[in-house]
Amino acid sequence: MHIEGLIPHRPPFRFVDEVLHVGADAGDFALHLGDVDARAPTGMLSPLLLLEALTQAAAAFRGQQRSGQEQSGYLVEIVDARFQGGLPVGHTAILSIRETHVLGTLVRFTGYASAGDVRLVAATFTVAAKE
Amino acid sequence: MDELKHRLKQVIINELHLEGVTAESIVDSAPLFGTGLGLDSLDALQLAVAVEEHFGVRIGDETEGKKAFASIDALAAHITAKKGAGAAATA
Repeated sequence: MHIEGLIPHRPPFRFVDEVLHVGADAGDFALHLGDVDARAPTGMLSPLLLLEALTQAAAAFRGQQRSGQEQSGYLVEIVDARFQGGLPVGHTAILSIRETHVLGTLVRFTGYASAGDVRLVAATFTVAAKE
Repeated sequence: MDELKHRLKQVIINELHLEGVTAESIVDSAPLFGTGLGLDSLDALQLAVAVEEHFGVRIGDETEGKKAFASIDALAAHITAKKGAGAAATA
């Protein structure tokens, strides 16, 4: 499934490039930064944008769960976020997210962005799915 | 049941960061949402997470949540019933 069929975000504000694996309640996605990449003009994608990448991965997860239909929603709450560092150009971050709770249109996710063995950002957040 | 209700009130106060609210000030039969403690939908989701973490009971969907979160009385009854059903299933 092409990522742009799952989420409404478009370059240069799309931070999920590839679906790696989607299971019943969790998924892994990839963000590939080129050696020169408009998303990281300083040479480093900031940790805050990696958090945005995790929320986009959550939207892509729900899109994949719903027969590949594009999903849109709103980030409404960041319960917890821990920042270790950004992603340098020329590197790939793996975005791992897990859906933990659903109540009505609100969906709670926990996840992390990692590069190799380094966990760059970890977060727990809530998305309001647009009906 | 009274001990469970007191624990529930403490969990609600701590998990939802309710300032100026004590367990004694929460009326067992009063609505938790809207006119009661004034909780909103994000609080409901956090409460569902907290109930699972502290009491091992999962709130399955919004309909179940609305019923269980009607008041402290309702939530205590819901947890007791779910725990009882779980114990009966494993007996």
